[in-house]
Amino acid sequence: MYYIIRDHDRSKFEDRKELVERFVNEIKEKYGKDSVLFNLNDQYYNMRDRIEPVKEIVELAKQAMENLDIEPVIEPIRGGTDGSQLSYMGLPTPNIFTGGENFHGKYEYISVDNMEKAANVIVEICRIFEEEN
Amino acid sequence: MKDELIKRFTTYVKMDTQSDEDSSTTPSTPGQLELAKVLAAELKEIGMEDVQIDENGYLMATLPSNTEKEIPTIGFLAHLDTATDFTGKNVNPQIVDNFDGNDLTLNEELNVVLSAKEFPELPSYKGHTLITTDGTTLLGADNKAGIAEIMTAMNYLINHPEMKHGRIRVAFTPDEEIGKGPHKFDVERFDAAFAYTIDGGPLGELQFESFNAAAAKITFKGNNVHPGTAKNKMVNSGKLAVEFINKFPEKEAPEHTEGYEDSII
Repeated sequence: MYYIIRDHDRSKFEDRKELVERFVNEIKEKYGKDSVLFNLNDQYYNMRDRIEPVKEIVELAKQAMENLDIEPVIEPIRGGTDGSQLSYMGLPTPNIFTGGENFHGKYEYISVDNMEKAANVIVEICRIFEEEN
Repeated sequence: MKDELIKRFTTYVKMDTQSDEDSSTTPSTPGQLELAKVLAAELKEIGMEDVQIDENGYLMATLPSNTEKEIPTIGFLAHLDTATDFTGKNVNPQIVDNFDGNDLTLNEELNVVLSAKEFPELPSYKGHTLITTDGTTLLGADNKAGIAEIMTAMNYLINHPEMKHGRIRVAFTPDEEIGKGPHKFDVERFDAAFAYTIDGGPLGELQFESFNAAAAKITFKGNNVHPGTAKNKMVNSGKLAVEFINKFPEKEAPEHTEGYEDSII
């Protein structure tokens, strides 16, 4: 049986892992230590912990969007991106929209108009960063 | 810019770059390396420097600074592979100009319809140029849209030298969908102060928070005894599993959580 454990908050995440382990131990106590094989591995961590100290890079992307009349939609990802791991490897990496909808299936589509906006956001980030430094 | 985006994007999605969880190589599939080679040629063509694919299929390139100011390097990233959930072979992108906002038939024969009933955001794209699938494959906008956007943005900066910028680094990386993207990413070689992945969904998405994630594998072992003499001896592993599952709070399962609410599945 496979379980995945997810929590945005690091200490609650540790609590959840302990809970799973406690339940495993309860089964072991009742049915013997060989009744359960248990293996638990961390996969990735919330990148917020590594991006918060350099929050200005989020502000930079937000500013670039606002300059282009795009309303930034800042929400936690219910999943991981490469940025979660990269941020822990020393490269703080927030994630920006592409303009696509319904990823991973046959109903996936994308607006070219919004692709253009994403490309413009990239250009604008580079421009503002030079101007403000 | 739109024509360039369409041209680049439709070229990339026609290449099959689905990753493979069961592969032990990096990249996990040869298609990803083929796309990396095509992109390396395009990066050179638009005038990017230090264009290099390393032995693991990570493509990196530099747009040199054109300002006298000493400013930190910004990175932009997208991934080469597409999802494994649905077929990504023979992608046949359909371009819908000036979308009328009504339901879109993707495939008449198979009766695949993109409908506002199922996808309420659809009518808001009225007037846009859309790119869809033909109803038989995924599209691969995740993440070839990101690649096309980064390419087009770099080409724009190169063609507009009046726009000043610092040193920019670009990377296109393999195997994001199978969770191995950053494993062999050489942060030192990339040499940027910070970066952005262009890998989100709808307009405006900006994300800097993700889950903390762990995976557990739990195997229950029963004890099989002839049912005639099983009293107090036989242990049914299925029953152990049920007893274990019932310990978890039902309200925290993913079908009951959203936003900042968290889950144990």
